[in-house]
Amino acid sequence: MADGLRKFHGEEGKMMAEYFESLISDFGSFTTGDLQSFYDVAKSITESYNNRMFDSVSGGFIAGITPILEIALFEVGAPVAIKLLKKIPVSWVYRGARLNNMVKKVGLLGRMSNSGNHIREVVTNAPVTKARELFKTLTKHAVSIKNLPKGVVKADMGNGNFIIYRPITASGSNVPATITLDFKAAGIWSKERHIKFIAQ
Amino acid sequence: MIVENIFDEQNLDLFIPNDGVEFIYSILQNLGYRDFTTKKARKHGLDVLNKLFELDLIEIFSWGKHHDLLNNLNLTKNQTIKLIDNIWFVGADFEDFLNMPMFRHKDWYLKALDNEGLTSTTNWKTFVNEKIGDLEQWIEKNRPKE
Repeated sequence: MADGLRKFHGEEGKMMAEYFESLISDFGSFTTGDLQSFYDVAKSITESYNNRMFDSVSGGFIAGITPILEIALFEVGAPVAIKLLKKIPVSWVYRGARLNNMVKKVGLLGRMSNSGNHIREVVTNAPVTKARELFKTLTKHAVSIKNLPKGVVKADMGNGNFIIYRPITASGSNVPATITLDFKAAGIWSKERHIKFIAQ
Repeated sequence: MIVENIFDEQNLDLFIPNDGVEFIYSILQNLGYRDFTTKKARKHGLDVLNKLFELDLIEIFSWGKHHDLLNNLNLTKNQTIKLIDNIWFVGADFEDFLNMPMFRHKDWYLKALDNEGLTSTTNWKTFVNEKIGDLEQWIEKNRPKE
């Protein structure tokens, strides 16, 4: 799959291929179920690239990011999720168009809360670990990262955009972590978008 | 004081359980502000907080960076508002509010909404229209009588 992506899908296919290959060294520590889930996702991403080749050259990369995030957050346990997220290279989240596209995808994860779409709920196992790892992934190319009181971490993503992780919320004891995407300056949303991680 | 009825339709999101009032910026956003730093926003926010405390609808969830100092004090509603007034400086913006008091709705309110069938994914406006009707009257009917 990686070879095909590299050969036929340009720069973005190469980035996806490198990601798949970077995980190969860790496959020994995956359970059979996790490995099967990951294989299914990788296969579906590759098929998506191939299908898109006929109608449009671009778009496969961004479409491929969502299933990777979904498998990390919803389908596998924390140890494998950490590996999947940690291996996402900094080039996927370069500030600017790449990060903005990634942020748009993250802002649609999970389900809409009763407050409306600006609060999304991600129901998952190990919510704190997964939220923290997702925060670290998204902020790999931050301009600066600042630790605030009470475990809050704020990443300056440049041009007035911010990503904030906080382990405190009034939403309830089953909501131990929240990621806030403040991308108003990039024109992505008119309000901050909050991703609340809810214990399964 | 900025005179208004906080039960006006445009303020309905203030009553979304906990999320509607979680941070000071949540309250300001739900009052329609995009610039949180103005004197007007601060005054309006404080007036609304005062009203929500008067209605016995909200309580302090965390005092932010002052939590350890203030958490165990037995404060009246007036003292609570005065402290918030002192902590909230003119010009405070999104990041500053992360260190300031956080609020939650009171248990009686959350339980009463649960009893009406609200879940975390129910559309709030539809729920109020279909199940609650007049929110002000519903709150008056359900809140504990002294």
